[in-house]
Amino acid sequence: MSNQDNFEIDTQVAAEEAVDLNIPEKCPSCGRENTERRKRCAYCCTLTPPRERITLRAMNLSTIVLFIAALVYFVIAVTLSPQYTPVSGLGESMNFQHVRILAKVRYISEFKDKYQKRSTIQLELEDSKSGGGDDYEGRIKLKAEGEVARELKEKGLMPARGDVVDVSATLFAGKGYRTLSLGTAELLKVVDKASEAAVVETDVKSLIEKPESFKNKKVKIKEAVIKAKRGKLVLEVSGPDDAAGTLVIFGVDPSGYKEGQKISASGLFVYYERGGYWELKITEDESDSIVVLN
Amino acid sequence: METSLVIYSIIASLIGVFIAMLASAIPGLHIYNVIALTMLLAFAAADIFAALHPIVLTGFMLGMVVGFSMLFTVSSQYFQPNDESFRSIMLPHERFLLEGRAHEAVMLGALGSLIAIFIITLFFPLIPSFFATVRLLVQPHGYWLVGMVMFFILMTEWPKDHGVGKTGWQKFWDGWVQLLMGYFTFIVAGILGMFVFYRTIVPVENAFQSLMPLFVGLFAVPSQIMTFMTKVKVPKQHICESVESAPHDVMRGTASGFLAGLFAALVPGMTPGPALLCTGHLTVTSGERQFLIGGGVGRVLYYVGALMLFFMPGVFMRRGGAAINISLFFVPETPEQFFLISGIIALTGAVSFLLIGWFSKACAYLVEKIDYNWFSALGCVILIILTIQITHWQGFVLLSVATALGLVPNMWHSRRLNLLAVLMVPVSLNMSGAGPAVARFFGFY
Repeated sequence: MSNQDNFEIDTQVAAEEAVDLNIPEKCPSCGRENTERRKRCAYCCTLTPPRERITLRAMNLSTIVLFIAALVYFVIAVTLSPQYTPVSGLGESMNFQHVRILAKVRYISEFKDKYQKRSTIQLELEDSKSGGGDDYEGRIKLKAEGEVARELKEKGLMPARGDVVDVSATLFAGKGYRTLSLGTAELLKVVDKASEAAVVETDVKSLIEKPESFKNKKVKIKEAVIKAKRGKLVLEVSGPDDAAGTLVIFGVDPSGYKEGQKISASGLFVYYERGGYWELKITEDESDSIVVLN
Repeated sequence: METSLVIYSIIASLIGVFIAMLASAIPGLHIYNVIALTMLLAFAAADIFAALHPIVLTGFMLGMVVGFSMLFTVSSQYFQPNDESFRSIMLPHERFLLEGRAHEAVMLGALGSLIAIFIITLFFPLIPSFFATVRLLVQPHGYWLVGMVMFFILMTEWPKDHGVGKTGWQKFWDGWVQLLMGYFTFIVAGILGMFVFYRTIVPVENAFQSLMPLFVGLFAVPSQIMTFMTKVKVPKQHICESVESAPHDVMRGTASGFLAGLFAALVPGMTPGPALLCTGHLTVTSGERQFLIGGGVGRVLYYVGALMLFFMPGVFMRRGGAAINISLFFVPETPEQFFLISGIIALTGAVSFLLIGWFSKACAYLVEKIDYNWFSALGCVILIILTIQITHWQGFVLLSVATALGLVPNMWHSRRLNLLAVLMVPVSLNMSGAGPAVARFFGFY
């Protein structure tokens, strides 16, 4: 067989292969003529058979997966139930962790640094399901400092006492201390507003006789008489008829009041475990908790 | 999380992609420059921005970063050609452009970017504990890892060519000039980096952008100047419907880009360029297609992947300019935010990819109609104005010095990679604890 014959056979095979491989007449990469339907473009050396190439249409279609993934993520973001950590579970081992808690605001206080410039808002929180009282494990302090404190007030995000709040914050916990630090104001959200209706109006007698029915509730005693002043924070009161005994009001400076004075008092009714008695607890910021009636 | 907040964040992220696309039309402009400008606007119009929820603003920034990381190479592909005299330092991008295949080069890079978005959005959320562990492992070893990369860069600068000349001295000089200039660039860039890290002249209120004049001067402006000097006719570009990409090209390119992107995302002071140099050797990457795909994967993993680690619960790693800027107004804390961010990355990644084809066709049309020098001139002017606006005249002084240094690799055909010593040297020295002593030696501290 001559060389000429070999060439003809090769050409024929190549032509058949070109048809099989569906090689186009123009290079799909550079667009130049490929009339001989070579597997590699004579100009840019790229492979011309479609099976060696990825179409842009296929690439574009693959983005559907990303659109679906995006949709799934958005749905999760909207519907994800927050994983709340109980306040009592915030321990040393979780130091520096970002935690999310659902808690009730017990007290709110605000103070400034020694230069009176940088303010700090401090909230005492307790587990929303906690029974309150003196369950210290179920309480924690949350600090919002400087800019965050300012934003809380300016954006109207400050909770009120008794509000149930959803907080995402950084935990600082060591031996004998644990505090939460709020990173941005938006991470403190009120989820259940404490209404004024939650304040129960009652009298000293009812509180002494049926303490369990008022446990951890905000109560208002319409009328009571100061019987004694103890230390720097305690008043002892009885009902107007002095029949049922005395009740302790804790958290009030007694120097501003006189024995025998009639007052109206509102505060949190709790059981003081260490002392073994029930008391009406009032905080410093509740300046209107005691109203003198005579 | 409220549905309205998710919707606002999505809209903001899509606006971010749109702005990124506009910014990408200017070759040389970096997304961090645009973010810096956005931050300045945010500070100037604090009342307007304060009304926005931080996560909405974060969505906007994220859209810009994702969009830009996928689109910003397109304009450089079309508007920054090099002529034959720069062949030795040419990347495949220029070769593709001169062969009329710029669109194919763009789409190969885009394929890499798309793979990276798939990895980030479908794979990363499954392994947060992996990243937390790797972070802990890498943290104490960062300084010597970066040091080894620097050593590798210097080693691979070794003469690749024989000397040409009439006399022995001419041959000697011709053979060694490339190496010497490479080392000279590395050393001077390192000293310049130490100066900026320890005694920056950028005003303190804009010090968070003190690296900007350096990067603009070292990389962006010299590229524009070299484009002005280039006398080349860009041929008509063919808009291909498919790209040549064998499975092994995709696999190998993805492997090198993935490792490089992760390396750059996890180790401070590392960027995709040097990381790709190392991982390219590691994965025995060869050929233009693997290079382009790997570049796309590495680039997006570095810019977007590193940013995602900032939002990942249990990791919260602040790496890269975007994360640093976002952390000025937003602290990520909850899993819902992470899922929202993942969704935004998937959405903006898909939208950006679909835009790449159109954007590339528009650039191919423009490069035929308008002289590419006009784009370079526009880019150069915008970059200089931005630098002066953000960092004042002191920044302009730094930019001028950096530009002079940035021209050295272009003039003597050494690698521009050496210029990254401006970041790697100070970061590595500072992590090792030797930074202050070295700075004191140079009188910077």
